Amino acid sequence: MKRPLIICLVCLAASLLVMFFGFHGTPETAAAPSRTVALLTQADTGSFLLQLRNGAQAAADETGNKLTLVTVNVMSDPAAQIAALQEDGIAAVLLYAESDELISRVLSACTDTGLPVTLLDRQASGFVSASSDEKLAGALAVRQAKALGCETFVFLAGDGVASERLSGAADEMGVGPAEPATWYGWKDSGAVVPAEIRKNLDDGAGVIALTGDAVRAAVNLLSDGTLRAGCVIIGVDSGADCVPLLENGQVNAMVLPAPYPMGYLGFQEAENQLAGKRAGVVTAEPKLITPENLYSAEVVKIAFPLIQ
Amino acid sequence: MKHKRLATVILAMILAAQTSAAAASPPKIGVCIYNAADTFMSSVVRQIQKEGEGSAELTVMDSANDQNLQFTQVLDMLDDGVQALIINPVDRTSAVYLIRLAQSRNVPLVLINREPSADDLALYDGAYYVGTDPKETGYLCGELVADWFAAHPEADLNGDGVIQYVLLKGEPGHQDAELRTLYSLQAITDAGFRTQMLGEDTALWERSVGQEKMAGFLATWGNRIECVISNNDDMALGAIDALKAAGWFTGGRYMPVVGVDATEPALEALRQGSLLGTVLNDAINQGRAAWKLAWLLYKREPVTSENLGYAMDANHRVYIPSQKITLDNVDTP
Amino acid sequence: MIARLKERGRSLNTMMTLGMLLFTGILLTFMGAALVPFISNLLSENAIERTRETVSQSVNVVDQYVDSTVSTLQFATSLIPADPDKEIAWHSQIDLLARANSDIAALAFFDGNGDCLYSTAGQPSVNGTAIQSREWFTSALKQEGTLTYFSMPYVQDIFRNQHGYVLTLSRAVNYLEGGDRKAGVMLMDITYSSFAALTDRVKLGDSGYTDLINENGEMVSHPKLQLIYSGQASEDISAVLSQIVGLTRDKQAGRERVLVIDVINQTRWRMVGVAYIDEILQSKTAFIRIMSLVLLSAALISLGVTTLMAYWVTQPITHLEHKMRKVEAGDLNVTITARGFSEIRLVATAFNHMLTRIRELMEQIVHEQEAKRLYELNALQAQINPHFLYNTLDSIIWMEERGRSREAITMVSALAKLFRISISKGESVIYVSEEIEHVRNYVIIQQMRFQDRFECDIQAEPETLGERTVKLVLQPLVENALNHAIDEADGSPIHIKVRAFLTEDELRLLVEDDGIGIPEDTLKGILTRPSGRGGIGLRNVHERIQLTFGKQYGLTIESKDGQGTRVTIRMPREKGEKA
Repeated sequence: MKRPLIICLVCLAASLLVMFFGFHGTPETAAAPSRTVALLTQADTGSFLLQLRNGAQAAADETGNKLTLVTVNVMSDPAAQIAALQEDGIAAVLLYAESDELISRVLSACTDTGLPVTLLDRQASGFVSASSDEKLAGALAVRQAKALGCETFVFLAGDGVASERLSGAADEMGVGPAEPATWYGWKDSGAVVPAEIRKNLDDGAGVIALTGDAVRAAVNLLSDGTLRAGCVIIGVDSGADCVPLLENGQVNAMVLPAPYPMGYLGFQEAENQLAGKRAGVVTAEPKLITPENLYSAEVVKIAFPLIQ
Repeated sequence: MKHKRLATVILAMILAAQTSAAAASPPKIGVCIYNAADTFMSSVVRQIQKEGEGSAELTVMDSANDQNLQFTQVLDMLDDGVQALIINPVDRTSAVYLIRLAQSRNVPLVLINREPSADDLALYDGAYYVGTDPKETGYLCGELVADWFAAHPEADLNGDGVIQYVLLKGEPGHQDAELRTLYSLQAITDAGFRTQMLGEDTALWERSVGQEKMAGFLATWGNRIECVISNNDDMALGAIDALKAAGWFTGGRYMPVVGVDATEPALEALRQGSLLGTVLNDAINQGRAAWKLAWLLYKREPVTSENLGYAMDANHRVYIPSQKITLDNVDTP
Repeated sequence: MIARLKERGRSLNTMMTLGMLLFTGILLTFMGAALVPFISNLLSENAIERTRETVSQSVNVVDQYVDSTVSTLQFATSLIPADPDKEIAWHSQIDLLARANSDIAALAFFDGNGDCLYSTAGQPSVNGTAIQSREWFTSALKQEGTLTYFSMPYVQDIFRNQHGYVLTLSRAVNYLEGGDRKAGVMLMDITYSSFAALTDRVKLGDSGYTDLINENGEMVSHPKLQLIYSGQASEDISAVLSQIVGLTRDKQAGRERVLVIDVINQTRWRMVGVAYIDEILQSKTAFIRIMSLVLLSAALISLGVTTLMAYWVTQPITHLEHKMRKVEAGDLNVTITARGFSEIRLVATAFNHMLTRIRELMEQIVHEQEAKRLYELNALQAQINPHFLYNTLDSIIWMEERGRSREAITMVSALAKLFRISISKGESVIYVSEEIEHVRNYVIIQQMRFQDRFECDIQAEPETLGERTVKLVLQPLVENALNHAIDEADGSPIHIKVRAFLTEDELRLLVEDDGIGIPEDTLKGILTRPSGRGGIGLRNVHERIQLTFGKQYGLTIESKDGQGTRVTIRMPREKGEKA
């Protein structure tokens, strides 16, 4: 006898539940709070920095986080600055600097305070970084030299980043690192080109200069006749300073880093660190600039980073 | 058993009705005019409608000078199942998309009056153009001036052997504006005269703007103006309005004014003696050619100058010939 | 089993529940199937229309910018005089123009050979044939000054030491130089950033944006252009390329997008508005969600209410039915509590009244049956009145002993006839002729016993003889008259008259005497008071007549104290009206 009453009450209760959970059950997806990431640099000017910053800003715009530019130098205490930043509410730090000392001090300060740090345009073991794929840079240079008809190569190399480029080039050539003719002594003005190198050059090798200085040196060698006219010179640099040489036809092609995607990826790695996700060493592909694509929209931010 | 037979008979009747309906229903053809306020284009489209009456179901739409609106209209027509398109584009450069669109739907396209570039026209086999050769109309217009000055040496007011003129240009971007200007001047120089431009401005094909600009010219150069060259009749009539307001065309004061189109008001002015001459912009034949072209294309027949009845060049362009209209031949049809 | 289900199916409860559920079901289905899709379609059409309008506005902005830029270029071309080489006033004019317009990076005029006659950005580092091979140069000349050429964004390299990230607009300029028609090219460089700003800021929903592409699908501008170039982002334009212009949809990275493709006049470019369907259709999704909840809720409520209502209606009826079954089984003492809705209450109350009435009637019947039994029993008893019998037999013996055998025989035969009629085979209603015979015999006997004490005159109309009467009605009356008369008499004989006659609609039997009469107060209750003597008595006769023929018949007693009594028996006549 009472069964219908029970059924009725159950149905009414169920309908109330449905309404209640339906309207309140979907929580508004709370927007993640906006975090601020600081880009630390030595000098707040510079075309490379400008594009790094733009790239990082693009990443920030995507997620609603913020980017701010802060200068640091060795004179003022980086550690104190880091601490101050942290107090100000900075969640993470991107670091772009020339000076090794500054870099190491900032890195250790960040480690001490626990502030996540991402290196830009550099790599340091144990730290998250976004830099240029230097091995690929070397490989691209060799590829272009081959495309221009060179069969043998002379490398003007150096330490540090140049050796990485060299190893990439060697991989591209398919030979061991020792084999390609590599001249490390070109830095001194007035240095004499060794005989074997000279022989290679006479035989029509392509010259691949693996640093900006090397490019300038190669151009000098061309103008003073050491390098025969019409010799193929491919440059690999860390910035766009040698682009005029390409414009003037003194260099056949340049391989340059791409600061915009570097800044973009760096910011994303910083966000990954904040979110507790995996963050590591990421690279942005360098770009091959030739007279054909020099003025195209695709490479404008790489070859002419100051252009608005 | 008799149900089966009855059903078969009914089915057969339905099928017959449908196929006959399909065969009997006239093809749909879509027409777009760039702006119904344009009197010349309206008369071209009216001619198309006249030609197509009875043979096809014509849908005519006014694109109100909005190219994107025209695209919406064309897409609707294509969805509606038109078998041919006659389009007067709003923007010449965007005609490339009209051509691509027609190509993607495999519908033949006849563009009228606003000429796309030859490269664009060449993209699609089924794309054609009907209009006038602006070089020809411009040249004929210039000939009107040359003929006058040849017959009336006193028209050279300052006797310097140079024709001082003001020129009213059509809408910038319209192929007719630039080329008519160029070739009308070319015709005058070809006839051996020298010219000096006093003033040149665009009056956007419109009478009221023509009047405005002419008034401006008069204010600046007044009596030094020896003739007025206009890219079309509406602007020429506007110039005449300004001249009349300034005292011309009364008491023997005359200014040679030439235009292009041979619209009714222009012919009237011609008879009255205020307009020196005009060039026939043959709306009727343009409409007729556009219609014939669309019809042949719909029937999937090969199109040649012969079966079309109008001259067509290798680039699928049909230029309707023009002719000079003066007081002598104004009343001949 | 099926039969049971069918049985249950026919119940009011089931029918009501099903009926109401059907009704609400139809209503909810209509809402769900017709109304909801209709409105949600409206919402999504609305959302898409809004997107189209936003893109349309953006297109207008770009159109206006392009228009003003082209006008500026045309104005610049109109500045070129007939002999631009000699007349150089136009140099300062275009300088002014370039400076007045911050978007202009450079304005330069080249003659037909590619030599620069003047440029606001300084003398170009490239001249002659190098210029002649540039696309902006050749395309402009091709159009003969009727159209403006628009380049893709790139870096302008022809001006010494100036690199601008620009778009180049160029237009052929026709000038007559001494009668020779010449064509040169006016170049105008517009900074890309001022142009990109027009489209990069447009928002369509949270993640939507607009970009510009040319006829080949190359990106002119895009909010993520740099990311696309560096490979960090991508834009799939296959849907745009196949649709060409208008409205289309595609799916990228798992999200459905709606693409609005409009053309930008004069440039051969198209603007593509990208909106994410899940964002612009939020209101539709929300609406559907809410409606689903509401409909579900409504369905549940209706189910609950229906069940309860059906129960509330049918429960009293079931209760009623249950009690009625009891009554049917024989229990008349059932009372139904009136519960539930008013109509059912009425039925219950009426039923109760009916039961009460039935009980009353049944009791009445029982009483009447009992009374009847009693009377019949009495009558039966009276048929064999012992005193009368003893007395009569005594009289017979006395007569026999005195040798008055003839009188004895008369008395014996009268007695026999008396008893025969008394018994009358058990019938309670006999012919008047028989009743007269009965009382005559009685009188005969009594006269022999009580000689000279009374005289009795019996007369019956002939037409009454065939009528029916209750038996033993005359004899008790005569007996009564005799008893009173004999008891109280002062010695003079009484005269008793017995008559039977018909009135218009009654049969009347009359017993009249001139005895002492009945005193008034005795007369009053004589028919109702139980007779004190045992025996039949007037009351007995009266009630028997009433029991047999109804309350309108019976005895009527008239009596005057000391003058006599007349008792009239009224009964219905059977035969038709007296002729």
